[in-house]
Amino acid sequence: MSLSSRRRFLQGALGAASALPLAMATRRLASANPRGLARRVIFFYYPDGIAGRSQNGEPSLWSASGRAPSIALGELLSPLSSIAGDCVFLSGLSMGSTDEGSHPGGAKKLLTAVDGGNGESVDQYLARTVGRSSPFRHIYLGAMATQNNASGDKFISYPSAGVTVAPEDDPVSAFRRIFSGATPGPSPMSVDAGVAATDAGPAAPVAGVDDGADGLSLDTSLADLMDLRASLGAAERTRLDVHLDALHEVQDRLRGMPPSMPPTMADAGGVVTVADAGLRPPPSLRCDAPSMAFDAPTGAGLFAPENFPAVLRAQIDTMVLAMACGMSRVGVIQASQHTSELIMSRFRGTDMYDPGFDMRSHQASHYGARQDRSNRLFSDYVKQVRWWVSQFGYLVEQLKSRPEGDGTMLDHSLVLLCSEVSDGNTHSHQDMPFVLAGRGGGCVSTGRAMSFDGRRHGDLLATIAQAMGASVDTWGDAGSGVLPGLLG
Amino acid sequence: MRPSAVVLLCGLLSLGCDSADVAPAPPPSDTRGPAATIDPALRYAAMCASCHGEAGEGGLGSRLVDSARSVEQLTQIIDERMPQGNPGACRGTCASSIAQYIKSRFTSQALSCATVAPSVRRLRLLTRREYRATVRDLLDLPAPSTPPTTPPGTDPSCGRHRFTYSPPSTARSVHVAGSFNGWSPTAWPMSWVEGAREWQTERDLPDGTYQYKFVVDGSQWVSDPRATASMPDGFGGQNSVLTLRCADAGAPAPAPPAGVDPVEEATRSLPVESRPQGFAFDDNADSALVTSVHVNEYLRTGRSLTAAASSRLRAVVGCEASADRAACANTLVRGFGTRVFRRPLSAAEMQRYGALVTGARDVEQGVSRAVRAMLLSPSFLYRSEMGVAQPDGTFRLTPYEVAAALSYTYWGSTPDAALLAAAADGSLSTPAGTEREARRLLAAPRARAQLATFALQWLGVETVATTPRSAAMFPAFTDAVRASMLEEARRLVTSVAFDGTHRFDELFTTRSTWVDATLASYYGLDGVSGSAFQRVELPEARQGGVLSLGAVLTRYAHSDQGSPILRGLFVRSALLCEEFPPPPPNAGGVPDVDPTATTRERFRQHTANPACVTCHRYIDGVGFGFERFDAVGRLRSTENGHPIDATGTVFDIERFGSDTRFDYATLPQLAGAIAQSEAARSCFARQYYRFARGFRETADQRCAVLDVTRRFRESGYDLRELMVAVTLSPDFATRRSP
Repeated sequence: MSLSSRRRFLQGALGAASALPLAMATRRLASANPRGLARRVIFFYYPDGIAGRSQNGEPSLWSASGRAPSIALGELLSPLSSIAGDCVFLSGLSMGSTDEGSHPGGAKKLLTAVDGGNGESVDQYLARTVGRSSPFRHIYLGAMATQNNASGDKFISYPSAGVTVAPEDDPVSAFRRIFSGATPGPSPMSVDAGVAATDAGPAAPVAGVDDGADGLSLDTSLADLMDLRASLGAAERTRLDVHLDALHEVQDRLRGMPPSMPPTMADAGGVVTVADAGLRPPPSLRCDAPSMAFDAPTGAGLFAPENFPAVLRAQIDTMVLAMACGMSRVGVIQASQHTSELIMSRFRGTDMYDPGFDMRSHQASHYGARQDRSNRLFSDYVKQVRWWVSQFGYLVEQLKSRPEGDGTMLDHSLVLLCSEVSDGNTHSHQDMPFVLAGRGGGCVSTGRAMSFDGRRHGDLLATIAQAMGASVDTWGDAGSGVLPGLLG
Repeated sequence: MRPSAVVLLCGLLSLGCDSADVAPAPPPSDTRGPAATIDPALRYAAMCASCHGEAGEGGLGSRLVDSARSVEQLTQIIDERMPQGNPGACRGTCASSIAQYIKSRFTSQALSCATVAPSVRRLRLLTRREYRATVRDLLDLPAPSTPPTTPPGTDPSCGRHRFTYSPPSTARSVHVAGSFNGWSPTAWPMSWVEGAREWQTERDLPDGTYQYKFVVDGSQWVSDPRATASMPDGFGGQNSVLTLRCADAGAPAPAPPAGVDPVEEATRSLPVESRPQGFAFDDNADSALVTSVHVNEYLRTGRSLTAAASSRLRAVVGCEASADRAACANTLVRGFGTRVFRRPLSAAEMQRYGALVTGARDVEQGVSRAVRAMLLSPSFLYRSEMGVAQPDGTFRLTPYEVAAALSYTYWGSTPDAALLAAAADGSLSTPAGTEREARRLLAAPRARAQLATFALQWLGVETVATTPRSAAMFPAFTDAVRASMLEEARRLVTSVAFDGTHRFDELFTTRSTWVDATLASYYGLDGVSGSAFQRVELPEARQGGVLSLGAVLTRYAHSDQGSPILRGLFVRSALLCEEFPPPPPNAGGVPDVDPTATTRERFRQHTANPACVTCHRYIDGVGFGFERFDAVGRLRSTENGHPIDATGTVFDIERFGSDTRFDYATLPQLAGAIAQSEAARSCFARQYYRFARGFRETADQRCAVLDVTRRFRESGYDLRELMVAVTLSPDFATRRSP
């Protein structure tokens, strides 16, 4: 079955509904975002590291030197050559000791900078601080990240110390949730904060839809939750604080929506209109009627390796569209999961494709002690890492292709490429592979390679947090402050 | 409509950054409180217990009970040398927190089990499967393949009714007397059913409403504690009321279009549970957080479900006869509300949800609003195991919390009317009453489906439905085969537990399995046709109970080859409850694929290299026993032209450091050794305890788990008795604060 026969066209049926949260987001952003800050950050994760310095001392294939326009990129980074001027290539950062050894320890520490994931991750912190006035404070999209009932130590986002959440692996679900409005109609009463919803009397009849119900549900749920919290000790409330925040976020979103909703929109029921169409939508941005071409199936097909590239692309497109429409300022894309069995040799149209042999992503990363091109594991691993890097490149290109202000979206964004280990064969946590793209509203001067030998990767996270406007000086264990020279 | 706003605002942003411009973040609206720390008990359990024993009693590692070393000395040892084979994995605060934990908890007094420590009180977020089962029950939206549910206590066959009665004290005789038999105290005797531990009689009764009482020992007239309704008897007591309406239970449900299940449809996007590493089940309470994605989906799900049930929603909540909103509100919060929250509503809650009905346009809208709101309430989404404070500082589960614990443990769903009645009448306040209800639930068909859920998660095989396998190498491995393999696993475990010997060892020593025609032909077994599953005897090479299940063999393999490592780890972790650290950094990778060698030969370096042998002597020697099976569960006799060697050695099956070995020649022999091992039996008890309780046990639960294991042993390792034992465990209904 060819992909084109399955191509679908997704459209947010509640155009007006998604336009208003946008207005709400930009309105609040204007007051909360002074000049020179990043409007958004996206963390792009892929698994199982890079071909770093080999066990017999051969140099890393992940290297960058010089300044734009003459940056020299090593083999693994060369897929980014067309956008090298938009990136900072970071080297020398260490994650420090990470418990539980290798891949899991790295995944737990990647965005928390705390051993064992025993701290909130920086994306979650930014979401609930500088990102909290967005309709969606946090968007966490995955591609086969939950396959095989992945245990929590495969995930990288920690809303609370030691506790992960799973990413959304289904692009159709994600698109629907972000663009159709979770709720077809707000409560007229709850729009007017301060008026108890239940005192407002019967709502006006609307055929086939009850506009008020979701707002009323949130009101009662909040009241119940406050009762419940009151019965708990301080230590037990932490978990419910995340729940409370979530209710407030959805309530805010609801209140930002227009008070009246044509019943026909709610009648769409599933709300996402999925129609067969052979074409991508025009590149012009229509946040009042967001749409997206989508190549991958849903359901069990989400976990078929041959569909992986299409699923990941759809998630990237969804993230870019969400950010472009002001739906969120903080996003995480998790491509696959560490130590996965993802069969990358089934990706059609890539140089990894081999229908006669199943090459799995983690399998290839253990290529041996030497960078031996005649070893299929090594040569495939190089191809795999290059493919991951090119997906990050696609994300950056998409941001760069959309005008925003006097530049492009990328000028106002930060995008971090990261993985949970450095050299995949040795599980090293030294000299971690990071690439930061985007000028962050002018904060970051791109087109260079920077070395921070001896510094912790938490310092990079702190720097990103500051560029987003957060008032943090350090992030995680053993942090020593913002990386010098990266900002400004 | 507003995209121009983006452009305008961006125009205001200047490019050019000065760190002085970096504005402070707005303060978060909430305080997270002091940073939570990972419980050192959990760290110990994961990193140390396999060698030092779960309560420090020692094993391969030294005994830590009543350690003479100081906290500082222990910290230094952990920091520098632990865990074995992966030093540096737990340094600093990790090391010191574990050292403090060892010193404070591992005392000979704790080891004696003189007292059983309660577990932490918790809120348990409904898993997706629990959520689905619960809304099916509450809104009467059964799965398409199952017949509509009937009111509890009613015989599914129309025109008959089974009366049941569990007297609080010993009775010599019980009769049922009522308007159906002229109130004769002797006409309808009931008989004692030992398995259910109750008196029963089943009678033909046409549709109608009847009043009745039980007559105990010929003279004592008592009302039915499980009756859902009652009315004054004229003597100052209450007659129980029975309404039979099997022909028409409210408005008929609109037949859903073929293939569309509104519950499945509505809940498809509920977020996946996050399982901690080493915890096989989806119900870990400490890993469950409600994020805004959850709230979004709960709202959407509530909307879809009430729409799907709309034509009968009034009947479901008991408002079909309510003329006005106030009457409906009153009925709904007391009846349906109790079912949704699994307890009676507080006065504030009655007011809150009642107002949703009375404030609505009409009864229809009010019912829909109240149902949708209840489905978003934390009192619905979490099942509470918070308990009530006791004078000794512990907490005791309320009878309603006990009811929910029983029901979700044995049925995976919300309590039925009889269970709520047992909570209301106090029978669940006693261990005997709790046990009686546990046995009643386990006797119902739903208990089989729930045990099957446990089995698939315990074996880790749920993902066999989607895990990729090489289509080029294994063209016969179709989606139908995958589905049949999962059903085989469900049938094997449930048939042993409920129909067979009920014994744990039969899970490993059975010589048969369950197949349909698809699977029989895939396995090369003769004489099976059709889609019905049937029990078949297996040739010896395929025997091994759960070890030779197609789903298990497929799950613990790679896309193109079986994996002795994954299979060995499965046995040691899922079946023997042993933990292995991930390979240390620099361990090197798996041996290269070699088209001329067998898998076993390729992994020889594991036992040749001293760095590998520490762990792999335990893993590989077990995993090689599965070599007769390929990556998709089919028998093979050669690999790459070489004959298969499926012999092996299990080292230290009972305990690391016990220095024992068991040599086996075939998989059934390996399975037999596991079936007879104390480690496997107690591990199984522990796994069921985890599933039932929703947390990973630590040294605090050691005595409780020992108690469950003792009951399991005393029953002759009867699986049903194990299921009851988690309810009889002394820590079942007590809790402590964190």
